[in-house]
Amino acid sequence: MQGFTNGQIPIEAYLLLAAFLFCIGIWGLINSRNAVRVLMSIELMLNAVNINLMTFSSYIDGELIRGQVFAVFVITVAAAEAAVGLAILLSLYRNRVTVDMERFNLLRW
Amino acid sequence: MPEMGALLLSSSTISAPADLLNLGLNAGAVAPEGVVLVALLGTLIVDLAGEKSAARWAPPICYVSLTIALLLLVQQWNAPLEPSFLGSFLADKLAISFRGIVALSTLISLLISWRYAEQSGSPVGEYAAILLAATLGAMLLCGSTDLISVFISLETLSVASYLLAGYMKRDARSSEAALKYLLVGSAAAAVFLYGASLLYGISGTTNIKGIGLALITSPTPLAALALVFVLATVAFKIAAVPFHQWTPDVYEGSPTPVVAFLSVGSKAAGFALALRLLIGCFSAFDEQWKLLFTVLAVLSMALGNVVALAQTSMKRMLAYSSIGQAGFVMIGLVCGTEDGFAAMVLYMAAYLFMNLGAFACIILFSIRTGSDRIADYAGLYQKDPLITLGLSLCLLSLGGIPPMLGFFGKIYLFFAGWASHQYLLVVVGLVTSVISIYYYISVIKMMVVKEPQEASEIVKSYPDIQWQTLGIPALRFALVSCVLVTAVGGVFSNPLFRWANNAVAGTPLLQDSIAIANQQFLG
Amino acid sequence: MTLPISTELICFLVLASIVVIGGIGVVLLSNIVYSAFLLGGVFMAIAGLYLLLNASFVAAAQVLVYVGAVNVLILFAIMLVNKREDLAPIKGLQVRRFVSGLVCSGMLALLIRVVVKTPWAVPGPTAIGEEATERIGEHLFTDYLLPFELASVLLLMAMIGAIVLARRDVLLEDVGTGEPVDQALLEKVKTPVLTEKTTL
Repeated sequence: MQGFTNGQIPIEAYLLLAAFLFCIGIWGLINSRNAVRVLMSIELMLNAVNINLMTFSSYIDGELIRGQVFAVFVITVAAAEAAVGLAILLSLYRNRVTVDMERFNLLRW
Repeated sequence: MPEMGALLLSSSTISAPADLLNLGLNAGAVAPEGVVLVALLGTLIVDLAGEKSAARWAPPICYVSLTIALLLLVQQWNAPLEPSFLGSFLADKLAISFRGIVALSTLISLLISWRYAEQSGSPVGEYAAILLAATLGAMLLCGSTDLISVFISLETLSVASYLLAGYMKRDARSSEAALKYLLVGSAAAAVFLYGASLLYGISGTTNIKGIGLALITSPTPLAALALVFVLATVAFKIAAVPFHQWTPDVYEGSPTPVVAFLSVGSKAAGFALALRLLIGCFSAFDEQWKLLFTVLAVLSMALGNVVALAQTSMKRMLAYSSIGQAGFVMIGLVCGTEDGFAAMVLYMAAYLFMNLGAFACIILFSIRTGSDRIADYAGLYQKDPLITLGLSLCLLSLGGIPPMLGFFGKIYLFFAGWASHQYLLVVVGLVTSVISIYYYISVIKMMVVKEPQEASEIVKSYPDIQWQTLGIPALRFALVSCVLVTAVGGVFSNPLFRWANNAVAGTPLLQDSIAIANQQFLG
Repeated sequence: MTLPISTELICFLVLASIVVIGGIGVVLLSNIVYSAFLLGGVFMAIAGLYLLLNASFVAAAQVLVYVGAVNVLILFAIMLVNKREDLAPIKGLQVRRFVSGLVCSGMLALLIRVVVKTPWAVPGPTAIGEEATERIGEHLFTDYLLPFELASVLLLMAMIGAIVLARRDVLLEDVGTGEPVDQALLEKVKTPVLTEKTTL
């Protein structure tokens, strides 16, 4: 097996990319009016986390790669969360016939 | 593979997974959770045979399994302490106490759920299965000592809670509550994960203890940032102001028995998580998180109790009052002394009985009348003395009137706070307690003092009291036992005090933290 | 600069720019279907980054689960709830977007500063490269056994819950009393809340 060395790309590059993606996700979370888009923003945030985990796993914990295991769990949970989220969205859509977050106001915020 | 073997040999200080294969898992520590899991599968299987069979068999399965789980927890109490699952889980006395509180809250929530679920036409078998899954997550969360198991158990609890919140799927309010809960909750989980990934990056490990050690040797600004991220999620889980916005909406829109579970079981798990993370992991940032939590506690007590004054819906009022109650519990967390932790455990246990008792009463009222507006309770004592008495006792206890159970819990918390010089917290706690007594008493006044002609329309047309309907006897049993414990428990609260003190004394994590605090105090 | 290094750098830059531009597109594009497809692109690019980080198993999982399941699920949801909906304008929306943009860029600046300032413990131990898959398996059955088993409960419960919420059939009568039921909260609202539905 050929020894793989990291280091051509500095670790900060990946971390900055993840930070940027995370902030985009937060902005989308706050500003999206379509509930599906809010779910997408959350997926972006989770992916930012995964980039972080994979980077640390490769650069700092290259031998035990716990970060990769963590990322696999995050992917699992994200899938479950998306499925539940869309089920809830469908049942809400049947009741309200809208996906506009601003109109989900039966309960006062 | 020669390379792999050489690699393992070269890193003898880090225990590689292949070496760990030889170690014991000590899986007996999660036996109570195993019983809950069996019950989960059991309810699903009886549900296959149809709704009638589920309504017939799901309750006994749940009762038996949760009772066995509680007995197993009691048995664990004096067992020697060993980490299980190679450091993912630790069944110390703190974990056992909180797991007991969670299991008991599920048991009582289930007792008061059946009639509500059946009367609204929801599938009962799946309801029980999802609630048991939430319990499983919450119980494992109480003992998790590894970021990955914390995350997975937190998500099991959360995803189950979203599903339960939206369980009344023909009701727009319920779906809306579920969607809001899901979006806010998933965002909080993502923020938690970001903090967790930073912690992993700093320390190179996912074990909470290992991270704590790494943070002590090098407290960097990055670690402080991770603290803020993780803390925000913990505050979300225990619904501390300003991370509370979801609470009133979710509580108002969710089915009431689910609210009962969320306000006790889920919150207890949140506090267990807070203790583990803040004390086990962020001991290097002791002053910082205590300051943050002081602010959160003051805001929670003030806002929760003041806004509760203005509510017209019973569920919403209890939602705000539960925010205030969480603020009281945080006093114990901030103290960081033996008494503080013990008071936390004791108050959570007391809160379990008084809050679930109050919920049993309002569920019975809404089953009979289909309303939860406070104004509709006017003059209830002539038609339904049991609800009136039970609700009055539980609300008085929540307000902290002697000689109820809640009074002793609250006094202990304030005493612990005063002893560790948290004067601001104690004063705010006392003032807001008085405010809370005002709105609790006004509900009681509404029920008791009104003349018959002043009673609300709903109370005037109150249905005949029946105890035979399927599910009602269980509800009555839960109501009466919660109210009894709340009313009489205060007088016989010595065993509870001893239990809470034992729980703290038998938890190495807390003892270490107390010892460090004492050293700093002396030095 | 040698050829492998520059190839790696070019790959990283291309993938990172796809992630950044795609991410911005996901939250900004007005047509949600385009957003969903862009999201798929972002997921694929992130899988490419994982390959650069020498994690082929997670890259495969990313493609299978995120692109194959989550993204398809999102597209399905868009199709199912895709009614042309003219969003009513809200006062102060632009201000809100701007303010939240400021907050987010402030947070980004903070993160950048902290990430750059922190002394990372690099280079760590040598990466195990292609044996990662095996190592992940070992982890899942030793120190991460508990979360692994719990994840199966989570998935089971998510599946059951999603079916219960999304299926249409409704119990028509109370199991205990035989009275008609409607699967709504017992606490009824006195005012008709669903009037909005008819005006649409």
